[in-house]
Amino acid sequence: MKIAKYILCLFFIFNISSCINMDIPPMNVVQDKDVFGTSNGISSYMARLYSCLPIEDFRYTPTRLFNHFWLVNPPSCITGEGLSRDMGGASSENVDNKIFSDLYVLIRNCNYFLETIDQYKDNYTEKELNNWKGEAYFVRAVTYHALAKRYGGVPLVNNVLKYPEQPVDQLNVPRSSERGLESSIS
Amino acid sequence: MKVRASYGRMGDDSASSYQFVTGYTYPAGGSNNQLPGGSVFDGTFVNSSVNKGIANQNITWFVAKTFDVGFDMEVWNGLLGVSADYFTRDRSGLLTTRAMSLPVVVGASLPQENLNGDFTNGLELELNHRNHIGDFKYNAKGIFSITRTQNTYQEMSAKGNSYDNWRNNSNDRYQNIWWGYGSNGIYQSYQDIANSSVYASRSTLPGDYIYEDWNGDGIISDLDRHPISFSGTPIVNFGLTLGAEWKGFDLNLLFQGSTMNYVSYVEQLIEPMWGSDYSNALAMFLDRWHPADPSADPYDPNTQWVSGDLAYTGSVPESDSKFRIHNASYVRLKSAELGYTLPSALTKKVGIKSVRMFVNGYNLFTLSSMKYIDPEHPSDSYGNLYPLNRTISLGLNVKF
Repeated sequence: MKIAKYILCLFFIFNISSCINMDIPPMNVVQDKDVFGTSNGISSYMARLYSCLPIEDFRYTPTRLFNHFWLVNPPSCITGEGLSRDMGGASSENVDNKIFSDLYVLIRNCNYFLETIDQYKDNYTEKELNNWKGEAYFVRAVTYHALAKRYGGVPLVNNVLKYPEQPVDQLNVPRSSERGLESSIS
Repeated sequence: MKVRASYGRMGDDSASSYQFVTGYTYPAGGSNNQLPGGSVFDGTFVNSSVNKGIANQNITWFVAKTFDVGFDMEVWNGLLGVSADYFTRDRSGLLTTRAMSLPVVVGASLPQENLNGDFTNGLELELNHRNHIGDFKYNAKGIFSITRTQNTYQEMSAKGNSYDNWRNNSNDRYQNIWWGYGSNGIYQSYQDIANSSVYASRSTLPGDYIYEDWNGDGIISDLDRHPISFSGTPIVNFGLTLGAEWKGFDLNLLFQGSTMNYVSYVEQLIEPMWGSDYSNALAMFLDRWHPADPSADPYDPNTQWVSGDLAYTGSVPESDSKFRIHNASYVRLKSAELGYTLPSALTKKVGIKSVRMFVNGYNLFTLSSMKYIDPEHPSDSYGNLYPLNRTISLGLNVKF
């Protein structure tokens, strides 16, 4: 009888200890808590924001836009300052839809950062938080500037638009005025 | 006689990859030629994390409902055995993205949802026959199967007009339909070209293919495409096994075949010297339309032509047309074996249990309209196949 009690005890111990909650998010997917939980994670998020930043640096040409290695017709050739074999005359920037959609992806990423970082504020100092937020605001402002330069008053989207929580017709944000856009980023 | 029926519902998560959770790709893919996979902070390269976009919280496995009903029976002491099955598989919740686009300002694309569905049904039949006439015992077994799959729901945007709907709406429609041009024969002479009811360009020559003006508008255009055959794997497969035994002799034959399958000739099967001027040509291209005098001007209406099976070299038929789609139905004697076992009374005297001699033939003959490719593997290696082997083996089987 006594042995039976011990066995029962052992059974409960093992049973309880093996009762791990299985309903957890998959461990092999990098998630918000992994990215926002540590400063290294945030630095990897920032690395994305900065790499997509629309700046007209030495990897920019009006023909192939940002981050492209093929530099045979840089802006100096369009203005006539420098001429090249591949640039026979003046041309304008190839403003297709891709630049518009790419930049709104970047704006979404900035907004997502600003909306999510506060959930993890206990991990960081006030100074760190303000620094990162400032960087995200800066990247977003540069992006709006790049858009306004090309398209004028574009829709101002300063929060993450949620689908399917919001129906599609609510996601159609009207254009902002150019003045409104510029006052919001300056 | 036995009747069986089964029904099951099964969740299939083979296409699931945690689409329900918002996540990141780390390290991000990138290219040193274009958008890099990170940025340089304080002199060190930092890999970036990319958001995977909108997640679908409600995503789940798709459900396959399978059903089978059939019977097995044997009557008259083996003279007739039948086994028949009808089966269906109804899948729902196949993953696809909804056919609409989010406004660009959202900055993300739509997640996958459980939307599509398909329905497969088919028939399997097996017939057996076993009998003996005196010492002669024989049996036969034939199998036959037919399977088709239909889309029950295909997520797609609304079609702008009824033609577009007919052409592209695959809802409630069988899969594996081959759309293309029908055939109206071959231009036999310059008169044929001159009197053609449809537009023929000035480079048309006798021997050129006449596509069917299916909608009758006088020109051959994309609007003339219509279902001309089946595509994909064979719809009907069948086989026949025959066996016989008589006074120590035994014979086994295996036939197999398929029908309702079509293939299109490609690459070197469609034109001579495909790829470059230095490549070779198959002999079948000699059977072509060509001027009787090789140096004659083909565009001269007085040139005499020799008719053939194919058009003049250089005229390649449209890939989705009846000129290029061939019926790959076939019947093949896959294997045949004839054997003779010596009477055991004879072999036991020398202490051997049994001696069997046999001759076996593999891939003995094929009935098919395909000339240059194996109808069993019609699309292998773009037709660049080593000719199939026919193997004949002799054997002796001695048991001690």
